[in-house]
Amino acid sequence: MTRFMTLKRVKKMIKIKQINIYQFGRFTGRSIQLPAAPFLIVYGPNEAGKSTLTAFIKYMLFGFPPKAKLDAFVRNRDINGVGGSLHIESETFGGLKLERFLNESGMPKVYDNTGSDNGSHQLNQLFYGLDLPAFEAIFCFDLDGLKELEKIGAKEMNQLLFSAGMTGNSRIMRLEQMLDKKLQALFKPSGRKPVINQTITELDHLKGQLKDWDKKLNDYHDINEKIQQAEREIADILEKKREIENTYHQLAQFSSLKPLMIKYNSLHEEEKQLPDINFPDQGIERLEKWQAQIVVLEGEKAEISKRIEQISLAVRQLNIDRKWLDNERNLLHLINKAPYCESLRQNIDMTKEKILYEANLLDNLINKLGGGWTKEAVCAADIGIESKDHLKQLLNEREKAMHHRDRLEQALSDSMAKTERFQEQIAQSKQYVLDEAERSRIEEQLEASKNRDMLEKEKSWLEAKIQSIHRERRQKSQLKKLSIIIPGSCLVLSVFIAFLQFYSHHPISGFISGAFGVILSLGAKLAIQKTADKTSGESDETEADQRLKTINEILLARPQGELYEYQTLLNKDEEARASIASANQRLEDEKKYYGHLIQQLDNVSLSIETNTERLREWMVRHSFLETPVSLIEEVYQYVEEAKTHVIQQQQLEKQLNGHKQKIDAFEREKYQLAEQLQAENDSLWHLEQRLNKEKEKHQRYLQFKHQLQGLIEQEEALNEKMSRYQTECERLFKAAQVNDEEAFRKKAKKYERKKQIQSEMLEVKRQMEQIEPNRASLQQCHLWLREDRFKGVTKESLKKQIEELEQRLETCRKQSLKWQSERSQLEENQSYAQLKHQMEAKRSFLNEKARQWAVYQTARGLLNKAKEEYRERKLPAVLAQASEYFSKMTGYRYRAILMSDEEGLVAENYAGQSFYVKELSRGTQEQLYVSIRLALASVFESAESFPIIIDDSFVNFDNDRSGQAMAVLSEVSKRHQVILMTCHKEYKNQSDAAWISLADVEHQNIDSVMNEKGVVSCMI
Amino acid sequence: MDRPFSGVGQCPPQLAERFEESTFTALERVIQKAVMERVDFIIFAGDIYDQSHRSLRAQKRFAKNMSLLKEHGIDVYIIHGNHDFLDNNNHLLTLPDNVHVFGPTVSMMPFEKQGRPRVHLYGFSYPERHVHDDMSAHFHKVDGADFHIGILHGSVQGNKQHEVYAPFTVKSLIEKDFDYWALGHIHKRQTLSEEPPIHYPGNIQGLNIKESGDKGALLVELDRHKTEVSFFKTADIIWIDETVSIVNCPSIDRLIDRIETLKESIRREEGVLARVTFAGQGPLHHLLYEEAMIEEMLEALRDGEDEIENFVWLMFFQLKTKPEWDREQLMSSPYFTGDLLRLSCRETSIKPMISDLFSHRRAKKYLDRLNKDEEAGILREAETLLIDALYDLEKGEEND
Repeated sequence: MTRFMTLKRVKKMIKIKQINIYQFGRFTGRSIQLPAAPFLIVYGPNEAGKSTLTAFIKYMLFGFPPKAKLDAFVRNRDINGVGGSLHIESETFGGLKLERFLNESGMPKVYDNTGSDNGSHQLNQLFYGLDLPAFEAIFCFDLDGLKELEKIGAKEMNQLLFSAGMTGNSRIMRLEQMLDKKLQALFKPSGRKPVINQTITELDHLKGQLKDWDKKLNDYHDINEKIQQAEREIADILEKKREIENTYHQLAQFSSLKPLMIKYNSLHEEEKQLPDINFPDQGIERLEKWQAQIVVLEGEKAEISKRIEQISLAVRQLNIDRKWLDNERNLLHLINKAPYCESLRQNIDMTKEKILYEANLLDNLINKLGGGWTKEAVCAADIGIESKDHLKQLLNEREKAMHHRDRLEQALSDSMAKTERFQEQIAQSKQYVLDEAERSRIEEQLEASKNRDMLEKEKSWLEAKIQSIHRERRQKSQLKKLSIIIPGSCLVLSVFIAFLQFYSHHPISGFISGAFGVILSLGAKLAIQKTADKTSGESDETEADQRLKTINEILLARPQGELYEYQTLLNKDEEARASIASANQRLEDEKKYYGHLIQQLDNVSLSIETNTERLREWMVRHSFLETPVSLIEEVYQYVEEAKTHVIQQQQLEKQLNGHKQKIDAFEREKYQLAEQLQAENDSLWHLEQRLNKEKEKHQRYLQFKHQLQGLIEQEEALNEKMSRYQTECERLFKAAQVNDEEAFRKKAKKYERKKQIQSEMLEVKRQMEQIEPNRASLQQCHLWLREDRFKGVTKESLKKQIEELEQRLETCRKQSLKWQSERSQLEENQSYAQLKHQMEAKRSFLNEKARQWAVYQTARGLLNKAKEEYRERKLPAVLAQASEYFSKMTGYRYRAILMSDEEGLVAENYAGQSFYVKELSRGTQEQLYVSIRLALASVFESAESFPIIIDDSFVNFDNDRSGQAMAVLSEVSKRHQVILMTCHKEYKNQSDAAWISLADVEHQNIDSVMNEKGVVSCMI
Repeated sequence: MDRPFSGVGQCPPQLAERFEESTFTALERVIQKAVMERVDFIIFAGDIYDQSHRSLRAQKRFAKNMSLLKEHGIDVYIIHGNHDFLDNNNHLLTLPDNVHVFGPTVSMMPFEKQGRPRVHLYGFSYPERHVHDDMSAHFHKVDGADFHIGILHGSVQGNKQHEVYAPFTVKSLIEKDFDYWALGHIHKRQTLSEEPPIHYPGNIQGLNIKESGDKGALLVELDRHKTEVSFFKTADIIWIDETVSIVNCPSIDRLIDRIETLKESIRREEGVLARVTFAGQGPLHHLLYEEAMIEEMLEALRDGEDEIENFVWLMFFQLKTKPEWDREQLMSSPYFTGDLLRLSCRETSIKPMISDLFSHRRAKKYLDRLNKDEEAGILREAETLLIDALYDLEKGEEND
């Protein structure tokens, strides 16, 4: 659904009410108030300012154009004061004053009826997106447009229609421009500079490079083949070179070995001449070495023998007594034991003192025990664990019994005190007890007061009962009436039914029905009567009345205060009685308890006496002398202590005897040892001194013995060595197969010569081996010497051959390296990969930009399509409207205007003939043009219809045509304010148009205009 | 191997270099894992190279890595797929003898361990670019091994997301009674069956934004009783597609803060190539359609990223923000914007409108074909552009 105007829809209308020109073109300080009529003709001869006025209205509405276009309207290029205002009437916004001045950047000021500035917001809403170009294209025209009429084709028409149907046309234009700009910046089908075109060029370039690489990759196999061939050739050359180099090395080796080999051969010949000699290796040196050793050993042996003799003499002079050394152990034992014996002696004295001390303690204890107690009695007394335990048990029993007796005596005393207290309490309580007569009187009074509550309740009940009796009485009278009506009705009905059945030949059932009816009526009568009888009678009511009177009298008779005092006395009496009863009971209980305590006390005294007897028995049984029971525990302790001292004394005496025996044994042993050693003095100190001396001598003997042993061993070793050296010398002679030293030395000389030849041969051989370490090669050289292999071969000739081969090798290697480099470049070079990656990156960039372009292009396409659609949909409406106007304007000679894509506009007359624009007369062309413009203005979609301003467009119209055109304009003015600028006075007769002459306003003074509230209007 | 990334656009040289190396780095990680885990063999289920990007460097690097595996006694079983089909002209380098390449017909290769065949591997290489037949019918189990593994480069019948190559059904593979099926061709990791295990490991390095997330290979341990399949990461560059809401975002600075926060949240050990999609409705909607603003934001957000190892590089922004106007409401508007939207809805294809460029003789060689979704996106963006430009005016009008 598009927003499409139909002419049938009546729109609101925007009207220009007043034009105030402060300064514009030829006008200064002019104010024109336009009449209310929608069709206005503004008359002015040529140069009267019609076009200026038209321009002023346009610029006031939509803003000033660029200054270049304003030159005709600005005097002396002074823009100060250029501008003015328009008063507009809008049905939506009411009266608005629109003011613009060029020196204020042409920004509009919009005032509403209240004079407040509303900015341009209302203006925007009112103009609905219409701008100056669109206004000029649709609502404002002159005959200049006619010149282009022939050229109006589909595109131009489309633009016009689009303007006529679009809001915010200029914004769409700007959007189109923006899109075109962006599209062109991105891509032009045959451009170079836009981004996409550039990227495509770069991609083509990259692709070309990649193609080159692809070619190179195709050559990869060939390069591989070439490299393999070159490698094979290199291998051949190397093989040959290796052979020649080998020969060269052999020759060089042979040349250096040749003199040595000749020398070796001559030595070998000499060596063969000498016989084989058996001679020990380094025989002479070894013989001389052994002989020198034997001389040295003989000197050492003589010295050792002398030393042995000296030591043997010193040993003999020592004179050691062996019995002292043999008895060393016994003597040392005695010496070690001596301090112990000394301590025993000291101990004997101390023990004697202790025995004496113990005897004193025992005597003291016996004295404490007194009586018949002696040391023997103490020893006889039994103080074993069993007796002690028995005694403890008896004493514990006794103590418990005594303690129990004390507690019983205390309880007896407490019980007597309690008995006295209870008796006192009973005496006190008896004061509050009432005598029986008084008590009975008070109880009666209180009983009567209890009935008062009951009487109150009874009174209420009796009142309710009396009311109930009255109600029952009423019901009873009703029941009495029913007891007659219901049974009677039943009886009559049953008799009637019985007759009916009887006469309808059912006598039995009639009889039964009759009988049933009689029984039913009797039953009903009885039941109702019984119910009536059940209700209370009049006697009940009388009783109730009397009782109610009695109760009221009782309740009025007795006062309330007296009853309270009675109650208090009675309560006290009952409390006193209860207290006495309780005290009597407790007194009785206490007396019983006292008797029970006396009984227990007797039992305890008896058990104490029994215990005393058992203690006495214990003393006899355990040999304790007769003792008072109270002291028995203390006596037992003294006896126990005394017995400990007796035992201690006995042990000390035993210890004293032991010490004495040990000392005697020690003295005996010392004496015997002294005798055995034949010592002059038997004191231990002397014995020890002598023993030490003997031990010292023995020590020295041992040292000498050790030295002697060492010397003997050395002497034996020397003998052995000398013997071995002698044997070695003889072994050398034997090895040389001689018997003496002289023969040995002669044979040695011969042997040396042969050795020298062999050494020289060895040296020559070593030199040869240094030159050629490989034995096989050396043998080869000997062979070559024998064969004279290198006869005629020189190092120079071989060198030359090698150089030639090296040159060939170099060439091949260079070639191979070149190919390998090429291959390696192909394998390793990243250019190809980088190109690929660059290509992909570039392609991504292209796609991204292409997408952007596609968005803009699609937006552009959508806009174009929208415009095209407008043309397709609106053109018929415009042409229809234009046809209607055209038909009227031409006096119905023509009936339609058509549009041809190829030829533009076509007019069709009522005869059905078609004419292109160029085929029409000038006047008809003008009519056609005006019709089209008016039709466009009619279909323009806006909230309110804009004024149509026509400037001298009917110049070529004759009177008829003018009349017809005026009629059309008059019709158009029903929807638009139409302002027709003309220089034709005759239009003044146009009946429904208001007439304004510019001449009348031309001489208005600016001062007067400005006098009153800014602008003074001038009514024509 | 060595296939360029798509959709990255212009970027600093050091990043470009890292991207170029990424496929090799991923392969090296596969090899390192294989050596570390002491695997018996590796299977490459096709498309090791892309023949449209004939890279000798890739083959050389591949051969070098295969030699490394040989040093560690690891065998390699290869089939060629639709991108590296058997064609002597394109396979220029010789691979070491631990690499076993399947021929153009389905055959069996035994893998021996401790002197006896332990695994029978079955597969074939693409003899040409297209194989439209169901090749699974030619796989036949040969007795005499402990395990049987099928290697197949192709897609499941009826998969409309990818071009059909050697189509097969999961049922047909299961019926073969193999112990494992190693599949190739689909770049996304997928499990077609757990028992028996049938897996696409996906590619080892994502190459465009559609291949986002972790990429790697599968480590398979076959046992008499069970099969354990575990994934390990290999990609050096991770593609990530994220969305940032412009809701309640009052300024571009705040939006940049949000993206910075997002950047840090997606930063990881590897380098990240991120595409950020703006979504939601907010006051910044209009600003985001300004190219200069987008360029400025990208510049700010990319600053310094090219200098760090674990970079997060924002490739570009995708706009899916909602304008302030309600499309459905405008659709029923009697004004020009309503006409435009209705017109846009009637458009079945934008191809005629954009044919100047997309059918341009030179340009079309490099341009990707637009699919329907992309066309719809462009159309939607175009209408947003128009409505945004015209909306203010009509809004005032409507308020009347």
